[in-house]
Amino acid sequence: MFKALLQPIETRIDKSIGRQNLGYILLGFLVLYFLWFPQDSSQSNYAKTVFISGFFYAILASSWALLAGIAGQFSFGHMAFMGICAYVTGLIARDGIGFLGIEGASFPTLVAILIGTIVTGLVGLVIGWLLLRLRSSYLALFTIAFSELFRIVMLTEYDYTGGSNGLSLRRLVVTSDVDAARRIEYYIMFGLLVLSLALMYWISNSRIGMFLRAMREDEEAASSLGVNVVFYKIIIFVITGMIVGLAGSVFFSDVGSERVIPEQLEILQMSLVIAYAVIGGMESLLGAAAGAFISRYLLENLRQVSLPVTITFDGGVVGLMTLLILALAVGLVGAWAENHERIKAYKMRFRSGYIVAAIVIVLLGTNITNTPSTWNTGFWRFAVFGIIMVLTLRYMRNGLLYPILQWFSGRDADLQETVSIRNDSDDDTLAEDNA
Amino acid sequence: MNFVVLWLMFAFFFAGIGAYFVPKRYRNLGLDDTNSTTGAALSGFVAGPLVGLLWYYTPKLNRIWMISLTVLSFGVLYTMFARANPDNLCVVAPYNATYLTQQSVNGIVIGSIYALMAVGLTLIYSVQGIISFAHGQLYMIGGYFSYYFLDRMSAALTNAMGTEIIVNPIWGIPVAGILVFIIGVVFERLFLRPMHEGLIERAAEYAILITFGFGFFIEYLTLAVAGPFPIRATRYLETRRFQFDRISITDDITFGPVNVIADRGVVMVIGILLIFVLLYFLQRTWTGRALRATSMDKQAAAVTGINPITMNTLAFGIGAMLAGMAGAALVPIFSWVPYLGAEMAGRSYVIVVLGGLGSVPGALFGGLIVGIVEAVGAGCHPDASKGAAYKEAFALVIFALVLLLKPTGLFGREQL
Repeated sequence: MFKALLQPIETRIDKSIGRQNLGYILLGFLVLYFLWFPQDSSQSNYAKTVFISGFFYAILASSWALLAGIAGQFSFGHMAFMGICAYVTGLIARDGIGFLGIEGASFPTLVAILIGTIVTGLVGLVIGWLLLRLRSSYLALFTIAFSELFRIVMLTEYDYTGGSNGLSLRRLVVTSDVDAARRIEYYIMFGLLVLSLALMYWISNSRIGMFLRAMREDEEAASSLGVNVVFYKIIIFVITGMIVGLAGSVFFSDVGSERVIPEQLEILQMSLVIAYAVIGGMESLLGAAAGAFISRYLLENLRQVSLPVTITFDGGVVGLMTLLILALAVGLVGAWAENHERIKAYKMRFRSGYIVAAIVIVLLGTNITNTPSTWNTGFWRFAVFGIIMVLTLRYMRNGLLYPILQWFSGRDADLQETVSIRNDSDDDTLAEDNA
Repeated sequence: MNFVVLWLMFAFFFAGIGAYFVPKRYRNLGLDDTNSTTGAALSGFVAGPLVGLLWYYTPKLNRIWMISLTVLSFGVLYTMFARANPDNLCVVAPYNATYLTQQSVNGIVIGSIYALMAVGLTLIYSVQGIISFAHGQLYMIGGYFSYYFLDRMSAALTNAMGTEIIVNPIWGIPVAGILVFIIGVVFERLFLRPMHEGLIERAAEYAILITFGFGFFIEYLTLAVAGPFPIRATRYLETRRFQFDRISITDDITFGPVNVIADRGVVMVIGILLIFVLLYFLQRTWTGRALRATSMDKQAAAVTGINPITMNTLAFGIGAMLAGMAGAALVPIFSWVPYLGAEMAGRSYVIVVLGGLGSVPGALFGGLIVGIVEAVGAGCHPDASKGAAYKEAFALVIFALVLLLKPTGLFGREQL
């Protein structure tokens, strides 16, 4: 139905300016809006901070999309790279090279950030080299271990790193005017986002990107066709590590309360970045960045939700639901014990009944009164976010924003990437498996 | 101190050199290079430049070689540790045996529960071929189920009876097990089964992300429902600790006194019992045998009338249930927060990789080894508070080493 409604508009756009051009124009307006935003005096510093953290997470998510979506390296160590750069920056800015036991003056912040980025690149080199032999699950496990190890060391060596209080970083933008400082920080972060997106787009659209996609699909085949797998696998870790490292040190020296804390390096934080990238579209850099920005913005603004009505749940609902679940469990186990044919019949008969019963119970237990209320969403918004991520993975593997980007690229009919071919070939795979 | 640091750099340098060059030599000569990386790294660590002899003579690195090299490197490490920290309780002569025994006993006690977790993970891997990244969260939520069940039951019974009744936490274990089993089955049915039916391309990556996302969801849901504040269930026993005054191997070699914290002792017994039940199930019942058959060869199993799809679901459910039961068993011992799943999950990844992914004996051994290494490492660290903080890190170092040197683990094979 949507297709039919959109059809005349689509043809009209195609005939007049073309979808791709329309996309570029919209993107240009978006960039202009982002450039104008901090000049708007009606916006508070808090709103700017939300935007800055949105840009920061956009960098994280899009570089993870390059690493995992395009190169196929499912690394969970992204936050660790960011942490390495931030900690090295902080230590060098504080002690110079003094933390190695050598007397030395401290460095200016900018130099410290550059040194930190280079060190992160070297660490990426080593990690990439170590990971050469490891594939999907093993790679994920190793990077989890690496990032946890780093976090624990940073947490424990409190003589150097400040332990759980974190390591304070010096400000990059030093002015007494808070508003001006925030504005400059905003432009720095936005510039970083644009630069890193440009760099990553260049990588993914050049020969290197082609090689990376080939490696993702089949490493042996790519290698036998002359792709230097070792080189590209290492270089992608170096590049993405340096990008997130740079973004991390800049972010933490300015907005992130001027300190980097080990809590930022937890796997839970990493999973947020992954969720942003998945929701935006893992195989599209712009999609991942937009997904991160939008999710960040929503999560920040949905801390409190105002509702026109008050909804309360009866305590009895929980009890009834528990009974229902227990009955289902007993029934399932009982049917299982008897034989497998029974369970099929059982499922056919009762599944819809259970769903109806659950809905009825919830409706019975819900009281809606006509007074306005606010709901402190707290962790619920993250839980909902988690559901969205899982459902996106299952039903819209390319991300929620990918269809829109795909429409603007104007290639949805013929020249599609491997992703969409995969969606079409579902039936073939099924047939092959059954045969 | 400086000498030890220099020596460490020296040893690691030669270990690296050995691990890089010796396998190449073995491959060039057309020899079996299975153990060459590990063997060369260990010999470089123990003997420094003498690793060149290994490169020159290329002996067949069989099990005897590997075990003696491992023992030797532990010996060297201990000697160097003693040199660096002459006052440490692990080193000073009359106490060290008892102290180390005490730490090892602590390690074995907690290691049995680690093993239980890891067996669940290995069961899922061997049947489904995926690693569940939600394992830690299922463990965590098992603890919460047990806690709330005990809390509500105690309150209800106290109301009904008129006297205060505290339900023993042991009853929470089956309840948590059943609930987590249901969660596991439902998740598998909704999100993993399409993968096995061929509806999803690049299944390995999908499996990583979907289990990871599921864990993320459970963690935040628990945070939302239960709050971030620590909870702690009631204890198993009134007794605080069991004391064994003398453990004698011969008349001359005795250790003592060795203490076991009573609740942890109970947990160890529960862990061992559950493992035996699981082994009985896998070895002696039809369903267990069907699971093992599926793990060996899906198609052959299907030919003999086993439904591999059902077995996938069952394996994930049982794996999740084991994690949940481990959580329920440990909730009276640790203070429980929604964040603690990740730590335990990290530990069980260490164990399964150390023992070899998909191997049940490997998981059991790995659990004990990791338990001992953590306890001894934390107990012997020169700075006690840092030692406790580094507890998890010791296991992770082993993990990184195993992944780099011998990714197949100790008992590496892909069936149960």
